[in-house]
Amino acid sequence: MDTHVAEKQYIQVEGLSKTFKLKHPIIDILMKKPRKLLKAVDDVSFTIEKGETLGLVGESGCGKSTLARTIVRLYEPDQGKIFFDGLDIAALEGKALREERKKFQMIFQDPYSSLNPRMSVRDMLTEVMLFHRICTRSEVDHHIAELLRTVGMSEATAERFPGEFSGGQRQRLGIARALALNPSFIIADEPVSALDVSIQAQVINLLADIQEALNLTLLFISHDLRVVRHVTHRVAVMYLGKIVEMAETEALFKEAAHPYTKVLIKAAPVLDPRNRTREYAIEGEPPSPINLPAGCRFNPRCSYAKDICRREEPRLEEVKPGRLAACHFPLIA
Amino acid sequence: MDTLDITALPPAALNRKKKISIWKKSPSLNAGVVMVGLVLIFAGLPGLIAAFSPTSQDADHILEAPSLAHPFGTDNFGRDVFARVVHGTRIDLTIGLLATLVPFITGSLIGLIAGYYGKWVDSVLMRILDIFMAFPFIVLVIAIVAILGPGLNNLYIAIWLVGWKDYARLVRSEVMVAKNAEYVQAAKILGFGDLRILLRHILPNVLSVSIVFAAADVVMCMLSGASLSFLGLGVQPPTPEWGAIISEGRAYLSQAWWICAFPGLALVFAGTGFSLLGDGLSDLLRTKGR
Amino acid sequence: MDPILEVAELKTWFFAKDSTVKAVDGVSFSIMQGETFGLVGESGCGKSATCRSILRLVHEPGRIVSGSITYKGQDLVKLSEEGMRKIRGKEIGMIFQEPMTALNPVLKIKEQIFESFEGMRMSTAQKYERAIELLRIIGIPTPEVRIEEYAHQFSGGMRQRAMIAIALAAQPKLLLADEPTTALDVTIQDQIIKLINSLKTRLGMSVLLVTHDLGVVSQMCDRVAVMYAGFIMELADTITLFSEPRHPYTYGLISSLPSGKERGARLEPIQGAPPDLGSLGPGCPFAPRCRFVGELCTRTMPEMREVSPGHMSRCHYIEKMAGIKGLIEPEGRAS
Repeated sequence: MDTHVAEKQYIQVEGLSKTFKLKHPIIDILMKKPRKLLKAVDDVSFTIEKGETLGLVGESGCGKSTLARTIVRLYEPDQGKIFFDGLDIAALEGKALREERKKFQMIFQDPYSSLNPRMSVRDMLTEVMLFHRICTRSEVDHHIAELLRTVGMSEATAERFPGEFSGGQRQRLGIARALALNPSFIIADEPVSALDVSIQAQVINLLADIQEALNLTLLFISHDLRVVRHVTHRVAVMYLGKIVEMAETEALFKEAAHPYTKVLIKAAPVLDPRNRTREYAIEGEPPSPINLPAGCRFNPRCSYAKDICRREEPRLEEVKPGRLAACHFPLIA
Repeated sequence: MDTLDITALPPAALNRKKKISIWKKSPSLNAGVVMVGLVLIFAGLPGLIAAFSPTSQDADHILEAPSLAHPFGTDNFGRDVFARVVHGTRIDLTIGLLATLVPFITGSLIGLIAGYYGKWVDSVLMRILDIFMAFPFIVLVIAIVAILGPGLNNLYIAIWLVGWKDYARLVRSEVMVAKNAEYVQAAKILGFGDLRILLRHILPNVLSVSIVFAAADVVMCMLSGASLSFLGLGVQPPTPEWGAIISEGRAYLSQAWWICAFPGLALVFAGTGFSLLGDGLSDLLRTKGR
Repeated sequence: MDPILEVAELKTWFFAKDSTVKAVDGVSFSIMQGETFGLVGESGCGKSATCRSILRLVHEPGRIVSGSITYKGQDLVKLSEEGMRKIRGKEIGMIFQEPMTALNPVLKIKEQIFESFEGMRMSTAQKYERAIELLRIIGIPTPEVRIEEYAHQFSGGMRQRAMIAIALAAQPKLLLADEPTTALDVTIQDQIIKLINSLKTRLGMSVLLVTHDLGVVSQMCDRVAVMYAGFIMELADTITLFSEPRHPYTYGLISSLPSGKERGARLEPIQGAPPDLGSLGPGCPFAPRCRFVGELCTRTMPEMREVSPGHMSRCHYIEKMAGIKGLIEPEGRAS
């Protein structure tokens, strides 16, 4: 494998896998049944350029959140490499990892559980900055004021506790905490899903502003295709632990290459009451990731499936310049 | 930059008002604070409140009924029961607090470790806990005191060895919830070590149930201390301890009910005070959480 | 078309210790035979409380303070508890966001459907046949097998379907759907939207849909009421609402949506945050966030006014919004 540093993209994930071992019930042990495994992330590879926003979409259980948490090393990856500016952070441990962590941070979905309810805003930000020696104690107040201004909140809010803020304000504080370390790469895991529409727009604008001002690289995870289309440069679509399609956002939304992508786009409710259909975008529900079907994971639900789809798993390959799809019969060629 | 003006923030004054109104609205907290306060005063300054010494005997005034001079009467040695009860406060309170404090700390730490690390650490600690849970509290304490021999110090050791289990169980279940909260994940991503996450981020959020339980546990420990002293396994006479006083007065119950009744009432008073305090604390901590 | 349900000046308030939260404060609308009527708004606007008031299922410390809810000539607000029992489930059914809270975990799906047949003269065999038929209509494969199972054996989408089956077992004339697709994945949401749409026509029901999602509104509703801080701000047929919004709040909601036209274009959010319902001033509750705010707005509450037949808006300055376009072209001028 090529590990030459100069050729790496800013973020380069290679063959990342994460499997969870499920509880092994006593009955199964006695019956000598093997322990069940859940392949949440299965051999995922992608790259993100500096300053780019990559969207990650898929339905619940597709592994997008696990992927995010594996990249930030909340979970230990089973396999694969995560190159961050040329350095494989999947192999880092201890102090080296802690040093490197400053550069990649995460924004969470639930504004109600993502802030420590017993720490004031000032305590929270002070702890982060002093722990990583971002500044000296005397400079902390100045930095906090600046951070709060960046996320559109007044300095007077620093003494308050999370319980005193609304959902949108909490999300801003979560962003401030991530920014406190001056990271260059941020993973936003459903950052606006829990917010009301009008507040959602405020936070989306804020993220866009911050990204531009600080030249951040973003991995933006969402199940809301409308938001993803608005926010991202490129999109990766996940299904049952694998990326099935990856392309420039507009190109993907105009014309899907993978049948599953097409289904997802079709299923999102159109904002035009005159444009209604009766037929389902797709029948049924995704199968359990514990017992994956043979061949292409999407084949049992795919209206284009042929024999080969049931035997051979397609690889994520370029079907057109800049467009990757894991399908034997991509919809565009 | 986004220049959103957030004007819809609730004024800070509103929150302060809320905190005050909890004091107003929680009668149990108020009553608890007053009652525990009284108990503390009795324990702190017994000499100022009781005119007599708790141990000085007076052969002329044996088994006297409550009067102005001896509001709680006198016992079979002519000792002033009021003085004995007042001086006993310090001993019973010390038993209650000391016997609670140590298990509170050890139990919470064990629960913290078991809940946070999970896996085999949790399994081992919880199996040990199961063994302790299998015996009734007082039976186990009596057994340990019987082995170590009677006396106040051995009483402490017995309660410390047994009392941690409830705290461990309470804290463990809270930690198992808290450790999956996104703020804990955020702390990990920020690079914080386990110790910092445990003590600064998880502990303050899981301790409230333990604190509330501890307030009630003080009562339990005072009662256990008194019971064991009553049985002759704890505080030894002539030290004025409520349980011991009751035990000594038991023989004279038909002639001099006051010897047993007043230390008993003192126990009830202190117990009610701590229970109310625990109740009020749980209101207060619950409201503060969110 | 006749209205099947008429809500007039409904007020449902929640009495907290130190303040009264006027969650629903004078809401009026009617639902026509066979139509899907939408109540849309953000969290805390009173849409769910309105919906629950209809079946008198408001949680403590909430109470219907005044107003009337007329169904088939009876006022549900004044009806006896026994009378309500004959309405709930049988005349008016309800489905919820989280099916697990609506389904009983210890009863088989069969038993729960049978419960809904209570009071009807049917033999067990007839009940069984009806239940199977119902599950088939609702789109549950192999109903003979699934009917013997428990809710936890069902997947998320199937649970939602089972809940709908139970709600529809007694063939209610009106279905109240409180955020029925919010917890679902987009492909399942799509299925449930279309399922409810087709059931409505097939069974001749009316539907009251409560949702925060304008996409779901556009795919399901014939008419919509937009709620804010306990008031209906605008009421119109769905196409008109999407093409010619005539209330600043509706317009704000619509412009907050990333409509997918241009990447990176700035969204136009509504500034600020919703007000505290416990302490509203005398004026329009939306005034502090409104871009068209005028001097009247902070002083008096605007009345509902007719913009065009069937299109009502609660705004002092409807004229200021003349010519403003929504998400789609108005009817007639559509390309």
